[in-house]
Amino acid sequence: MNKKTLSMLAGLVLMSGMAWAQGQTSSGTLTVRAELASSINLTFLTDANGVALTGSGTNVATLDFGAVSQFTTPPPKVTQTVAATSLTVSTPFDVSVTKSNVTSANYALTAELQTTDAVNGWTIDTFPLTTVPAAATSLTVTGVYASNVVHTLFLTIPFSEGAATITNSINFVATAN
Amino acid sequence: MKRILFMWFLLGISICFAKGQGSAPASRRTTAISLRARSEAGNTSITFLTVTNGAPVQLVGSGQSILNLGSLSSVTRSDEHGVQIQPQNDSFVVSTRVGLRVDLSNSSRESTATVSAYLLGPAPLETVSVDGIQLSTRPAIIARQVSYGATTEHVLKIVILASMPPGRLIDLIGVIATPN
Repeated sequence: MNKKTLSMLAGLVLMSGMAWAQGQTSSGTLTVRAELASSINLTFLTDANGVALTGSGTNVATLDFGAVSQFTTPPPKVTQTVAATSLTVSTPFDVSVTKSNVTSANYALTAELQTTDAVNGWTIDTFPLTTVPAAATSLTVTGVYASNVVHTLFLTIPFSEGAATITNSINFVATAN
Repeated sequence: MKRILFMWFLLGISICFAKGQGSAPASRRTTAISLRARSEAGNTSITFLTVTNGAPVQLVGSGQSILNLGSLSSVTRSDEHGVQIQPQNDSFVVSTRVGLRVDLSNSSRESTATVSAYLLGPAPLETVSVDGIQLSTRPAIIARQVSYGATTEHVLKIVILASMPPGRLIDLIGVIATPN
């Protein structure tokens, strides 16, 4: 038996010894189960030309026009229009609706005042807002997902109204088409 | 001489082959040497466990369990049934914790195992990771010194693309424990 044969033999014996020493492996399987649901998400964002929203980037935001009157300059980024018997202040804001795990080309957006206001007029874009429990006002039926869509809030205040803080809540609902 | 050498070769091959067979039933035993080796090494097993702040794990067989994540969507969820959800731009991250225990029947000697994990099938619209290690269909080490009998907790994260259609989601994660 020459040296080459001996080394090969030693190699084989070593291989078998290693196999013996390593013991056995064990295996298991974890099945991960879930039900994936569709969802869409609405957020309000400050528009570049509008007043800063408190809560911008979330779905609960506050828009503050500040102090307005017929005879004073409106706050920055607030547009004021004075008519014969009323003044209207307006400012733009953005709405972004994103979708996840849903097969929908676009969305419908509605808005609705949560408290009746018999004195002032509330309008978004060109659509006067209704008040709960009436049907909500449709703002669009072809909203584009994942884009900041500009809307403008108009508040019309009659001259007959006394100085006061005007407040209300507007509920927006986006529905996947 | 060649014949002797060939016989040694066959013996070596058969031992290596027997090692790779795992825990073969008695009727399939092929060589006495490898059987003795297993007997001395003891039988190892893997058990998945429910842990605190983790989704429920259901044992369905030896080394086989189901992790139920329930209903998932991209809506933020801090901790519901042990599942957290964090939305991202074009996806959302689902995370939970799961327990793992590697047992050795003959645990007289203190030793450890290396644990690897892999996906049993491709998941093109998901990214599955355990303890930050992204899984693929090739095993990747997720823990190197796991003591036998000890329960280790692992963080399972699944990134689900927003483009993934709704419906049932099933991922099969294979786990291998190799004695150190």
